[in-house]
Formats: sequence, structure tokens, C-alpha cells
Amino acid sequence: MVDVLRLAAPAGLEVVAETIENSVKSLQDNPTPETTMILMKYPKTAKQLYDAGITFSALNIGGMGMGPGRKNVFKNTSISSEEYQVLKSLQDDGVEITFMSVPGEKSKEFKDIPAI
Amino acid sequence: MNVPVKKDKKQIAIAMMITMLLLAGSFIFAQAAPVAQDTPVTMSLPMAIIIGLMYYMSMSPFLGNLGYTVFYRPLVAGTLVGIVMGHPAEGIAIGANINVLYLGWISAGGSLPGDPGLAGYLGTALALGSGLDVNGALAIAAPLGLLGSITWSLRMAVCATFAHKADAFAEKGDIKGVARANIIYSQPFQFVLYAVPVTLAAYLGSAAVQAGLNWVAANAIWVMSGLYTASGMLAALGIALNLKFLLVKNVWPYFFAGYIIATLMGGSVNLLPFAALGGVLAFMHVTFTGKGDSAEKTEKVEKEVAEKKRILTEKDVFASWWRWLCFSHSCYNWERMQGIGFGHSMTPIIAKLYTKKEDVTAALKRHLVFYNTQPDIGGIINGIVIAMEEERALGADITDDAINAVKVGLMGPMAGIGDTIQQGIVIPILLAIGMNIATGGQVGTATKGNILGPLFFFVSMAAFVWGVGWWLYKTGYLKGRDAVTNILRSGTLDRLMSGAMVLGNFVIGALTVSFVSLKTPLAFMIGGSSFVIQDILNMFMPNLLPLILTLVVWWLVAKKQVSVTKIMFAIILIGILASIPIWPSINEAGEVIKAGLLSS
Repeated sequence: MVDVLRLAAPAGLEVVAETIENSVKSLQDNPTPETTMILMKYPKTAKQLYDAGITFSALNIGGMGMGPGRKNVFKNTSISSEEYQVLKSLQDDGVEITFMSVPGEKSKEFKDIPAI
Repeated sequence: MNVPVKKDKKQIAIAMMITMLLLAGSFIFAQAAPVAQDTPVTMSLPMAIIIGLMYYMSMSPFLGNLGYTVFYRPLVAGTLVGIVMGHPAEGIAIGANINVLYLGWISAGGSLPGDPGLAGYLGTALALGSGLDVNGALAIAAPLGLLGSITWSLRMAVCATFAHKADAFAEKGDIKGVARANIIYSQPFQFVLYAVPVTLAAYLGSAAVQAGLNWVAANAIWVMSGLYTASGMLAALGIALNLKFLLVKNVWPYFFAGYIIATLMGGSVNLLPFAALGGVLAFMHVTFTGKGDSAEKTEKVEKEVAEKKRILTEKDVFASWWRWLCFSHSCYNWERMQGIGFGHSMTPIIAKLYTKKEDVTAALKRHLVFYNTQPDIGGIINGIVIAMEEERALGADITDDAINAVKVGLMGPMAGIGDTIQQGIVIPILLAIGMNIATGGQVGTATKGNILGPLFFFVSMAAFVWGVGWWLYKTGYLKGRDAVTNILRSGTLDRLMSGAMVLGNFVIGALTVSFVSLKTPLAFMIGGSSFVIQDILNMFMPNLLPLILTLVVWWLVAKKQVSVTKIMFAIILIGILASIPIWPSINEAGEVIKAGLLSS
């Protein structure tokens, strides 16, 4: 799977796939001078990174699938109440959270959606 | 779907109002369009109905995925409308010019930034119906295309409710029901949503446009040249959207190469030999920058897999592919995206592999979840999933999670690669060649088109969508999970892509010269001798203004993330304002007169 991700990335980009612990460590040990994009599967991962000291000021949420117990909040993005709480706590820490599925498209702020 | 539907209603209400404003706006633009060159064709109700039907068909799943990739494109739409209205040559020329704006148009991740189909079908119909010429047609089609985003958001919201019908059938283990749910609810709804408004607008619109046209011809003639100017400038937007994909890393110089060579050749070029030259450059580029590949490894894996036990035949896989090809987007919606389409594609496989009702139900539910990728290139994932389902049915320990992980893990990368290849490179290049053939290299000025242009696009696109699509689907099934990594690792794809990007840059560079037109009539009389700004610019390089405009729009689109809609309206506005005759210019007799700042 890591191979696929690495090969799918545009040429010239370095792709690293790591566990949460390892990425916290490597991000803390060598703060990267280059622009780094951190991709995460779940909101809770963002929270774990944040709590471990990898702080960020903004977080973008892309498409998240619909399922039982989830609520559609924006275009193809659905969240559960658990995820809502996680994002809420990040927002309370001052992180600006935005929903945007495709770069340059219309976006929506997390603070504008009703509590779930 | 409780909250979103309510919100959608509000959005739709706002959207409706914007629609009205835009419609009013487009009539004003249409008014400004150049004087009718042809006698208008009277739009009959049957004609309008056929045009509405054709627009629906171009969005429907019934054309084996050639709807969205071929019939949805203004070049083809214009041709068909022209045939229906008895003026095929004019329709082709109009369609080709409208298509300039949508050359680099891309729909990714479920977004629809404008609607080339609507612009093509309705734009051509209104233009022919009111006697507008080629450039006037583009000016009216541009705002029309934006209306499509409204029906799109309605469709994406409503189709989500049909997804639950599919769930209900899955619960009962009703395989055919799932297949039906993908079509029989969503399609009649979409038919009404797409066909009816276009039929009405085509039937009632022409007279209104024509009335407006006469009014402006009599009252504000300079607005017309403004629209001409805007039409020439709008092409820069179509090209800039394409350049967003092409002006990257080490292939961007080929854009300038194409531009300069076409300029030296005097502007409009015959694109086929030009594309052949681009092909030679692409080959050289790939040969001299390529790295070694690991074909050896690919072979090994193939051998191992070849001995696998099979239940499914090629016919089953083909049945699955055919369903995916047609119906991947039939019930496309915000909640599951292509989820129902994916489930539908698995129905022949599930029917063959599982007999017990609970197995069937579980398998159907497994494949009705959220899914989204690029359908042609991403078909390889369906193939892989079929192989996994087969292994599972044969008793291998493959969990639901394992299957889902493959789908979720691969759909993103395949969407990225697929959209870049299909929408970013293949469609624009084939379209550009088609448009060039259609107009004899005179897009925007030719008033009669050649049917060979749209025909070339149709045939070459069908070969790609069906040929490449089926090959990848089959490869995914035969080689399983290794298929993707093997294809990616072998480097073939990388080479193909960078080659295609060289070709794309070269061809688009040449097109910029003939598509984008911008000049300045500005001139001064100083001490008895005249200074014509355009002549001075030409001394540096002919076609300098179109190049600058294209690069500025590219910078706004690609680097500044300015929305396409804003740029479009800005261009139309600038085109009109810059045509107000308040600037000094010199006429043929050498007298100082007042003219606009820009012209086409």
C-alpha cells in the first residue's frame, strides 16, 4: 500500500508513511524546512499528533464516507458525533478547521456546522 | 439526509435567483453579440425536445461512458444540435468555439465547475435559433454553463435518497434489485431535471435572445465589439485551466516551444502534423530523461498468478466491467458517490460466487459503501476486488476489512492518476485536435465546420475509454493486488504520462496562438509620426498580448486559486469596458480617432 501511495505521488515529492509514534518522533527530531503535508485517515489521529506536541494552526478535512451513525455535513463529508467532539476540542485549542474536498473549490468552516 | 436536504432547499432557492439573474445577464450579453450573420432557424417544439433529450443523454449512463467523455463536450453537442436544426456546419463551428472555454475543464471529487454540456447544447441552440455568430455564441454559452452547477447540486443531494433503496434491496439479498435501484429511481429523476429545463429554454429562449440582439444592434453597438474582445480573451481561461496540469516540473518549456513555432508559422497551424512533431519531441524527452525499468519483476509475478484457481470466466468479468462502464455514475451522490455504481458492477460476480442468502446480502452491503475514483483508470480496482471476492469464495481467509482496505486505499491514488491522465491530458489533446480539424485551424473565425473534427474526437475517445478501460479492468482481475504496484513500478505509466505532458504542452502552446486573440488599437500621433502600440509589440514578438494574458490567467487559476467563475466574469467585463471608444487610435487614413483599449 505504501508503494502505491509513493508511486501515485507526483514526481519529485518524497512520501513517508509512518505510525503515529514514529511520525511524532521524526517531526520533533528534525523540524522539516520544506513544506510538509501531513495526511491522516481519521480526525482522532490529528488530535493525537496535536496532543503529542505537533501543533498546527489549521486543519483541512476532505471527503469522509457516510455510514450508520454518521451525519452528512458538507458535500461528500460526513462525521460521527465522536469525530465532532475530537474536532471541537482541536478547535477550542485554536485550530482553524475547514471542510474542502477539492483544492480551490467552495469550503465550509467547522465552526459553522451544528453540533452533532 | 434530514439536515442537508433542508439546507439544499435554501441553497437551491438562492441558486434559482442567481439563475434568473444569470439568464437576464446572458440575454444582455447576447444582445451585445455581433450582428446576426445568418437568418435564424425557427426553433420548433420537436427540435427543442430532441435537444433537451440529447443533453440528458450526454449525462446519462446509457452511452457506455461516452456520454460524459464525448457527448457532453460542446464540440460534439454543437454538431448534434446543428444536425437537428438543419445547420450542421454552423453547429460544428459554434460548438468548437464554445469548447475553447472548456478545453481544460475538469470535474474531480464530485465537483462540477460549470457545465460544458449545457453550454454546448443550449448555447448552440440559442445561437442558431437567434442567428448569433460563432463569437456571440461563446459569450452566451459562458454564463449558461454556470447554471449547470445548480442542477448538479440538486442531483447530488436527491440521488443520496435513492442509495437507501439499494440498501433495502441488499438487505433482502436481491441482486437484481440493487442493479435496478442504481438506474430506475435515479434516471427518471435526472431525465426530468436535465431534459425539461433545456427543452423549455431552447424553445422559448431563441426569440428572447433575438429581440435583445436587435435592441443592442440599434442602441449600443460598441458593446458588441466588447463581446468580441471578451470572446477572444475567454479562450485564455480554457487554456489556463489545462495549463494548471501541464505547466509543471521539466515539461513546461514545451509549451513555449509550441507557442513560438506556431507564431513563426503565422498563427493558425494544422494541428495533426504539429501533434506528430510533438510526439517526436515527447519520444525524445522520455528517452533522454527516462530511468531503467524493472520489467523482469513484473513477469515473475505474472507467472505465479497464472496458476491460480478460477471460478469466474472472462465473460463474468466483462459483464461486471460493462455495468461499471455504463452505470458508475448513474446514482452519483454526496453520500456514497460511486458506491451504488460499484455495488452494481459487482452484481454479476456476487450472483456467480455466492448462493446462500446471507452471503449474498453481506457481499452486496460490502460494496454499497462510499466509493469514489476515476472510473476508467480506477476500473483496475474493481478488477482486483473481483479477484479477492473469488479467492474468498474459494475459501481463502479474506476479511471484509481487507477488501475494503484495498478499495479505500487505492481509490484516492487512482483518482489522482486517472483524472490527470484522462481529464487533464487525453481529453484536452484529442479535443484540441478535433476542434482544429473541425474549423480548419480557424477556431473563433470559421463559420462553417467540418464533421471530421467531432468524428475524430468520438472515435479516438471511444478507443481510449473502452480499450484502456477494459484492459485495466482485466489486468486488475488477472494480476490481483500486484497489478497496481506492478504497473506503477514498471515506470511505463510514468513515461507515458511525461510523454503525454510534453505533447500536451506543445499542442496547447500552438493552440494559444490561434485560440486566444487580443490586440490593442492604441496609437499616438507624436510630432507628425504615428506610434502604433501593437506594431511596437509585434517587433518584440507577435502574439505577445495573448501569451501574457494566458499566463496571467494561469497564474490566477493555478497559483492564486481564484475561482473560474470570477475570472470569467472579470474577462467579460474587462472585454466590454476596454471597448469603450475613449482611447486614441489611428485609422487607415492616418487620422486620429477614438477607439477601445483592446480588441480581438
